[in-house]
Amino acid sequence: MATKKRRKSVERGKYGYLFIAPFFITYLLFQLWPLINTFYYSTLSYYKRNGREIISFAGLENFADILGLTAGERPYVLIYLKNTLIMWGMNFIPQILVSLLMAAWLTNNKVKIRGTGAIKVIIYLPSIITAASVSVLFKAMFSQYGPITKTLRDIGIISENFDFMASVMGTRGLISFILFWMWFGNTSLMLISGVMGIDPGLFEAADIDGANGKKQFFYITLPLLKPILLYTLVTSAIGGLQMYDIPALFNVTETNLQGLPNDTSTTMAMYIMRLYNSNVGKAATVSVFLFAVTLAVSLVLFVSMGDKEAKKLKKAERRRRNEK
Amino acid sequence: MKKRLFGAVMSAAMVSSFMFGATAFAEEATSEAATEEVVEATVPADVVTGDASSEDAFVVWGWNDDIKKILDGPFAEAYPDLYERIVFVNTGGSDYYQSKLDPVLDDPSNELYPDMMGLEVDYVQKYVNNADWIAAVADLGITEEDMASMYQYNIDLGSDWDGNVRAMFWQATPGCIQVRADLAEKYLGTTDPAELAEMFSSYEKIIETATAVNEASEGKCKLFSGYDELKRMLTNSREVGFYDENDVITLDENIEQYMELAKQMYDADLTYNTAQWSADWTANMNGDGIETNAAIAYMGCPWFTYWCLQPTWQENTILVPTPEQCYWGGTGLAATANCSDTEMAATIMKFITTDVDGMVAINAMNSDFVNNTEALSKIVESGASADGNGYLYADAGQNFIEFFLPLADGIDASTVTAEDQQILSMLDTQVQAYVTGEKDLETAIADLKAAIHDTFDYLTVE
Repeated sequence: MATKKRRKSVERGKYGYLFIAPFFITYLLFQLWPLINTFYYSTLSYYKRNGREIISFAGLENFADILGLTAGERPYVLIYLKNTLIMWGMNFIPQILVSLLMAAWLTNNKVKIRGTGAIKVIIYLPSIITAASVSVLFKAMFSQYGPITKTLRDIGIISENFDFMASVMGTRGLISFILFWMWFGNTSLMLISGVMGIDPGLFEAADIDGANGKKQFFYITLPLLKPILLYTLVTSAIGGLQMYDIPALFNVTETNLQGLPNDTSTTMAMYIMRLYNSNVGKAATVSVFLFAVTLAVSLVLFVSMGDKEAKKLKKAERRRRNEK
Repeated sequence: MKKRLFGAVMSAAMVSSFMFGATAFAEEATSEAATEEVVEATVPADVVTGDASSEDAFVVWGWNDDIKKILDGPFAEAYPDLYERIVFVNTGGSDYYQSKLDPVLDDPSNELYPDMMGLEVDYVQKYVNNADWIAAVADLGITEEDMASMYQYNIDLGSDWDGNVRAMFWQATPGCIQVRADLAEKYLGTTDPAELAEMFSSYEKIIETATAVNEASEGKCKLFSGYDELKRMLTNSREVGFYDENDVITLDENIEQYMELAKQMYDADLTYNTAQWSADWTANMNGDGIETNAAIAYMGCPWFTYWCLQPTWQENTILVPTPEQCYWGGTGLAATANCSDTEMAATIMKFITTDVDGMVAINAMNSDFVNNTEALSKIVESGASADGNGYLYADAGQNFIEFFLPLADGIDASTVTAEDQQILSMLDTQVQAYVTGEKDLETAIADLKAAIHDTFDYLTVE
């Protein structure tokens, strides 16, 4: 009797598998397989010279090379990782702060800002534009003799000789600003939906207890937003580590994707792209390295930001049961 | 426990699918849509003219419409039937040309597999040294006799390491300095070519001249738009290539000299510090030197005149030799190893690069300095191109072709390597870092060598 029942439920589940099959098939074919292949390529000395591919097995040599552990090799990958993280950080920190502020304001019933709908649309708009166009547009505006650079010089905000494109902070700052400007609307909307998902009864109760807006924000909104914040942080970190299109079009050499000035705006993905044309093995190695870094960063974030309170409660519950 | 493990596996799978974006670069056949979009958005789209699906399509690749203009003009007139069959692929810019071209060359079944293509000097050696990609012109039936009137340096550029010619050039590209006459009169006090030549006769003189202009105009007008106007003069007159026969990276004295000169110009504020080909660089061609920034002189060559000079320079250009003999650019034409119609390839190549009448016709179109001494004599005789496509300043009394004749004699381009385009690009980065004081000369040079080695593993730093 019992076995029959179980079989029935399996039969129904069969259709479920059918429905999710297309995803898994494409995932296996077009994502997992190339991924495994990349790992394989990273163990090869696989470079091109005059368009001919020269391939041999190299073991872990590539990894030692990119990390600068072999004599005569420089750890470019670490330099570019640092560039990437700096530009990501300079974009993410203000982005999350401004988005939190936006979310708090636009959902607050007491402040009652007019036209919240319009504001939401306006802050979201930049992320609709192709990153490439934005990058080129900013480059034109902030180039050495671009209109904004000129204006800033005329009103004395920057010195007469300052050139965003020749300044490390100028270029990195602008790239971070573009990313911030493009994505803070998206993050705001995410956080707004998070705040709206919080039980209004909590805010009402806090009101009655006499908690002011600041206290409500720090003790109700923020803790309950944690899952959304974690999601934003993880997706942004993953996207940020793969930062490519904006820096690749913003201030680079004519060929070879060196981020100017002095290679300081070159990101990991740009490095992979550059190497791919000359040295596939090394490009794959850098990809694997980037994969490892991303995985590590994501896991650290998951673990450290995971719901500790909930875990504690669960533990206490279990203990209580055991005691009983 | 099991649940947690499953969770970990799932999150790893999730991260890996995000991560795929990065790994896709290392995998050419397949790519996630999002990544592809990003890459596509940063790379200009190809413009294909003609019907590539037709049976007898003859596909020609170029990174701009330079070749197309010749095919559309003189070639179409001479061979209307053959012209009908040509499909032209314009990749829109030299920067991504190689990365677009290479995969197609490895895939002869591709509809857009080139039958013929253009190859720029900075990377022509990469292609001619790959016999799997490119056919020797001898196999197309082109003989040494056909090449008798060509400039030797162009023949060398198109030859592989064994001396087989695989690419042929229709233009010779002696370098020069192009001076804007109205501004020269105002700030240099002369429009006499001989006097101007004296001002550009050595690098020290150039610095002196630049200082004089800067002072006379109170910084409103500069001699050059950027210090990198000196780049091609020095890199394209090197005696040592970027690496020797043992693949050890070598830097000619000229490289260091260029860096020093650039620093000197930067420190004294002698240029606007623009980068060649940037919008600001172009804008400085059109300035008036009073309200808007203007540069008096640009590094040039014959093709630069019709290809780059702005309308302000029409009937307003004086030609001056560079301190050292040099060349700048040039496009080789090559037929592919799996060319669908070698006879047609030979016809086009002969017409464009060896046929006296064909080359006279090319010159008639844009006043280019063609790679054929016989055609050049004819052009000079007929008086064609005397005014350099309408750009030369009449009162200076110069003849465009005659001016370049002595400069083209004995050009040596033997230092060119397959990797020049990328290496020159890396040089730009280090020069900028050095002139702005980011690092000292030794560090800049060491960084340049390290960067070359990092991209091209087979080249080693001593």
